[in-house]
Amino acid sequence: MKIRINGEWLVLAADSSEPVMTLEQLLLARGYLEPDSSSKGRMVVARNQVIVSQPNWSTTGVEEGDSIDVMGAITGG
Amino acid sequence: MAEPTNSEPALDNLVIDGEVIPGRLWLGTSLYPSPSIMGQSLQAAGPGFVTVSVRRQTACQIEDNGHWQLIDDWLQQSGSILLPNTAGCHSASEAILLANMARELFGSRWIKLEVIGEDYSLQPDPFELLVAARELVAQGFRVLPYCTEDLVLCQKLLDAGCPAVMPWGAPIGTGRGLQNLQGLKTLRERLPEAVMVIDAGLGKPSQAMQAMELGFDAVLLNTAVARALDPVQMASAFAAAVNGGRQAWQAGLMIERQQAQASTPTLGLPFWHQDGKA
Repeated sequence: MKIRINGEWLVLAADSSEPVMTLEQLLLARGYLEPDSSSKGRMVVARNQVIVSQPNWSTTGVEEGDSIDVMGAITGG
Repeated sequence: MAEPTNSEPALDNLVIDGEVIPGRLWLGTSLYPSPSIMGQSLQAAGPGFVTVSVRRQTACQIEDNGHWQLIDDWLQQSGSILLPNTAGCHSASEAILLANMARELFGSRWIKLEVIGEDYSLQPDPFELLVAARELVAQGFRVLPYCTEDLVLCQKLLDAGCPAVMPWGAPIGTGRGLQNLQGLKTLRERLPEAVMVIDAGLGKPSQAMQAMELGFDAVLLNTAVARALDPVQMASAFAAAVNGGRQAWQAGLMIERQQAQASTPTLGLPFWHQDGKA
């Protein structure tokens, strides 16, 4: 399965139309979460440009072709 | 008239959408030489709003975000208000999505709405801006739009429910000051009740003071402080200029005249009426 995370393609598993992991599992695998699944810092996550709130990370599946964005605070004017 | 005192005269409160904003100088957080200097500059400026943005980040960036931690600490101790922006957006839909991400991230309804229409000048797109403003107001945001000094646009943004408008002084990062002075004066005169903030293009404290003397309610800047040789001292200079300009506006400026008029009375000069003429 190929998805995009922050704009870059990532191969997760063999081709499949079924979700192979949840958003929480993906974030954990990519280092965004502590082992207890708490966030390592302030962030907001969107799947296909729809915001997924933290309570829903563990029930949201990641599917073939999904585009996941993980956003955080930066300086700005 | 204010009672004469030896202490600094109090500035009137700036209130936007029912909330007292604790300062008329608003400051951006980009481009400083270091997080420490940014923090000291915030301390020196005492800004009402502090602007930040939202971008894609790696896990390392999320975990080790020193800039954000410093800004967050400052907000906790100072009472300054966080103002996320939608910088970099070129359409209403992009700006609406980024505003919602900012609300999710920071838990704030305030948003500095930027929709850029032209990349060379970073001029706002008035059409997309208005579409985005209407939608975000409907979603419960407190929208502060970065716009041009176009009177009709500003009126429509206010009609859409924006509690203030933020016309540019000059293109972002140019430091050119108030480029269309007459247009800005007209805007202030025609919308006397509106809260209006000069956003972008200010390079010198004197330009910020000029904006405040014209009756604008606040100024928002970043580069002029962050890119100064000594940002902390420049932040302090801008704070003094903004307060001075507001005091001048409150005090009421004299009306300009074309013809000279002596301020020292002629009466009492030793040669007054010595020639026998009336």
